[in-house]
Amino acid sequence: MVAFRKATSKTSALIIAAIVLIIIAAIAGYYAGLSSAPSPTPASPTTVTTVTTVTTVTTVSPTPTATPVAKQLIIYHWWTAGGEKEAIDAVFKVFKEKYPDVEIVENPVAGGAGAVMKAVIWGLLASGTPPDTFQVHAGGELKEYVDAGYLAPVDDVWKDMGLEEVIPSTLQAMCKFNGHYYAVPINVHRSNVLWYNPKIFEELGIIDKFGDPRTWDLNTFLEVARYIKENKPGVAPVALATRNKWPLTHLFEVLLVLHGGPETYVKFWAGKFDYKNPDDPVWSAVRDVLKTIAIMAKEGLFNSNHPELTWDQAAALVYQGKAAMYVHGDWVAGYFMSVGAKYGEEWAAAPFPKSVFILLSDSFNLPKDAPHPEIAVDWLKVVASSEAQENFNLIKGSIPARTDVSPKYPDPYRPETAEDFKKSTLVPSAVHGGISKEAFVTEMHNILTSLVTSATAGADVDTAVNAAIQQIMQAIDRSGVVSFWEGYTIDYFITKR
Amino acid sequence: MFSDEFREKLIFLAPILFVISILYVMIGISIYVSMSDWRSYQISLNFVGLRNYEALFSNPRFYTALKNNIIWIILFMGPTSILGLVIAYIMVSTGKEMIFRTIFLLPTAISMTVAGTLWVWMYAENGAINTLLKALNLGFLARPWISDPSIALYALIFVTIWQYLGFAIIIFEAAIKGIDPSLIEAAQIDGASSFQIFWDVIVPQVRHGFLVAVPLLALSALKIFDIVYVATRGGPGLATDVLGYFMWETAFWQRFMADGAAIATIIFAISLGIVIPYALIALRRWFR
Repeated sequence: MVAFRKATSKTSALIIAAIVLIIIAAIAGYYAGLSSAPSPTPASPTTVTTVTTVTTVTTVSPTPTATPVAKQLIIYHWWTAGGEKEAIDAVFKVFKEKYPDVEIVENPVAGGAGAVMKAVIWGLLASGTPPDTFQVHAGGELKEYVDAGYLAPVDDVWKDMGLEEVIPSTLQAMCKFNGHYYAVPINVHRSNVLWYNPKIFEELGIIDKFGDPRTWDLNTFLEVARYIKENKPGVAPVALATRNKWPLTHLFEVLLVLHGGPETYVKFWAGKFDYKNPDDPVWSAVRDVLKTIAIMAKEGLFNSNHPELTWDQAAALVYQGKAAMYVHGDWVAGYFMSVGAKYGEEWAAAPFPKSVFILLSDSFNLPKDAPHPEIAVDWLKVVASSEAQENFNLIKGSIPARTDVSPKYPDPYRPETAEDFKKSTLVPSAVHGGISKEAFVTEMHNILTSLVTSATAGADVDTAVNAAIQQIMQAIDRSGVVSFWEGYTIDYFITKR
Repeated sequence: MFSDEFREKLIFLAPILFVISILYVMIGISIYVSMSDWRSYQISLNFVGLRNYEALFSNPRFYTALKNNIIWIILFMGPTSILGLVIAYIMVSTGKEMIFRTIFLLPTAISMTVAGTLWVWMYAENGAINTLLKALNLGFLARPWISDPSIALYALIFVTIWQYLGFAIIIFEAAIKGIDPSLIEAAQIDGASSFQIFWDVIVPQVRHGFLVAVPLLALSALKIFDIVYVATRGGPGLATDVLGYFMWETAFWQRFMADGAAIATIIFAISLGIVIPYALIALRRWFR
């Protein structure tokens, strides 16, 4: 009896050991087979879809030329919120009509601007199991994948679809590295817009007194803010949201273009100036902008609860009449419309400044080891088509990347911005992955929020600004932004008009 | 070669040893990555020595995050374990364990991200806490809890105390119940008050409870990340920045995997500093 029990316990231990070993071997095999180096394991909610990708690839990996049996398009994107999801579904619909036999394997990863998805995609790319295509901001963010050698050129798509004729040169530059196109843009958002409450503006006669916001300079902006504070103390002159930090960097980006002009802007974000020399003219423009932000913080011209708000909550202050102005991207228009705020009464918008258009763009690409490269190219052609661009952007609240597509916009904001896209000087947004390097922008988030924090606490403005400039110098060094853009000229990014 | 008994033990231990060894291999890889030049999407494992550590030690943000982490560990570990013990004692001595356990364990069951979001709403300038204070005529206590950089860190530490209290209570409840009841009875017969019983009988007897709770709580505070990410992203400024968040931002937003691994290695070293003394004390107790 004892011997029998001993035997069974041994058998079951062996079985358990065998099962565990098989599981471990499977995991080890998966990693070893795909890459000898360790890969970052994405902490992602997409376990199920990751498994599908794995099985697909193991059949393909020995011979990349082998045609997979299933006709699938494996796609990753971060459009999960209301409005965004419907927009990408509209593109899927166009794709389905053209290629009814292809199954779309959609992997939406929630998280603003792909904060989570980037980690997931990195894991897939590094382990050699990429999807067929994934969403990425055109510009520097795209370049990081290109530099790492994860993407295949898509020059043919650009040529076949004649995109060079209909897409402005700045946006071309944001997709083109080392002489090849690596992505197809689907939309364009504008980063530099001043949102304001028309009732407050009318009541205080701001436009009569200071002119059209489209023509304001940095000083006027500060004066207006002070004027509002003086005459309507219950209202925050400028709405701000720093809980996620980046909206402050966004404000900085817009004010830098406003004050320094497009060239200074590009020089700063791409590190293309003598940044070790504090007398460089770029620093003087940056210093002015930092000073303005610090003064505004010190004089209480921002809503005091900005560290607890996200960008949409700050936008809400404007239409609710709790704040007068807000500098933010044009997804705010979509937000205002979704909450039913009335244009002309509760909100109005002015390009800020009108002469420059800071743009950001979402794009799709073709990873090198994509399991279904031909289907991915078909997808990119759909993305580039007038039909998809029109359907997508009508819902998303952005404008098409193609200038030859002009949908009938239901809102009063977009016709002007679509017009400006054809007529204003274009530069890529830094905060939204167009220019600069995310490593540098991330440091800017911390430097700028620290500046605002110390100025609010009463620190001397000049001391605080000097400290910030020192930190920015170190951040430029540390982040490697200078070498990142080596070989690219300032003019490459600017469409002068 | 081996005795039967030893072979049997080996068979039982082999699977778990294998699983654990994977963890140690991963730690080894992390430490190697921290000494590599992997600073982009492209995996790059060229050895660069301690360069990443030097860069880290010359970055003022590292010291801010480290300081916040140390404050967090001290202000979280102490109150949580002491409150946990007191409440566990009240709970056991009153016999209302079900009610207490339900009340205090509920926050522990909530995920940190949910708790973080809830508390940001409650901490808001016009949020629940300030509204309540004003209604109670305590308006002078109302504060912009997480907008004010001088108190934001403490506001977040409080949330973690609120969350982990249930956990500490459970540990001390078990410890108190493990005390020989005759000791308490003897004290009662001698006419000790319940405070005296608590202080002179219970506290010395639950040392092993502290031995379990304190290192575990310290480790939780050391690897804190989720609430910072959800509530403040280390803000206002860097007021609530911690090593865990710094590591994540460096590794995944800046794509400086090597630098991120260096921060991770330092977190690992600090955690060893917490775990090793604990393990030594525990081993000494068991093998006495």
